[in-house]
Amino acid sequence: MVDIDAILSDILLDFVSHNKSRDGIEDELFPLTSREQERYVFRLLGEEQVDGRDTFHVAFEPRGKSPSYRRERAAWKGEAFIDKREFQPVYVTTDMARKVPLAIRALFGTNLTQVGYSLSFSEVEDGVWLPVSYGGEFKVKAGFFYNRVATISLVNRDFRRTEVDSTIKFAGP
Amino acid sequence: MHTRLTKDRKLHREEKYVFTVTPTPDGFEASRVSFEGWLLHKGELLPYAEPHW
Repeated sequence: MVDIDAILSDILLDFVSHNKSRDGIEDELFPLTSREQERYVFRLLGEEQVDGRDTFHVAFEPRGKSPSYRRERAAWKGEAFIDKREFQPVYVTTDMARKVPLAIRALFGTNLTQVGYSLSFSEVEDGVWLPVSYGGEFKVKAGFFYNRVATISLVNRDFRRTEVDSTIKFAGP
Repeated sequence: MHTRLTKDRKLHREEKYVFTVTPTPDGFEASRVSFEGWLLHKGELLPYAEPHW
């Protein structure tokens, strides 16, 4: 018998362990990368303080009149707080605008809705920004029998600079 | 990382992972430090030590 709970748990794990991205978060989940930005419209809502930082409060949503391939990829709408000095996102919260991520949609078809997710960042060292917390929630239905709410939360902590020792040896003449 | 699967607010599966994450030129590598899991089985939440029991 297929253990759908186990499959779903694995997918949740994959969600935040995308080992080809800089921070583990899949690009599709996060529209503020330079590549994703062109698929969205951004609107300044105001200026606010978040975690003691002065931020721009920005709303974003898929660009409505973009070509179809862009429309297909732009999935999220939400709000972001961008640090005014560093131009780095401090806190991002989204709702699904059009679709759910491909991995989950492929398994569960359209019977899945995203309630939303939130992502917060922190400057862990001078000029080094990393995601420190991530939270998301999905409602999943498969057929008449399977009905779940799946939540994921992730905390990143104990950041350390990588230490590298290297030695150069020169061969004699 | 912490995941929970619930039905009608009742817990069906819960998993907690701790990873050490190391950056690489292409992204990063994550190695698992610990794992705890619980699964609802015949009305009882049973612990398991490896993903997935």
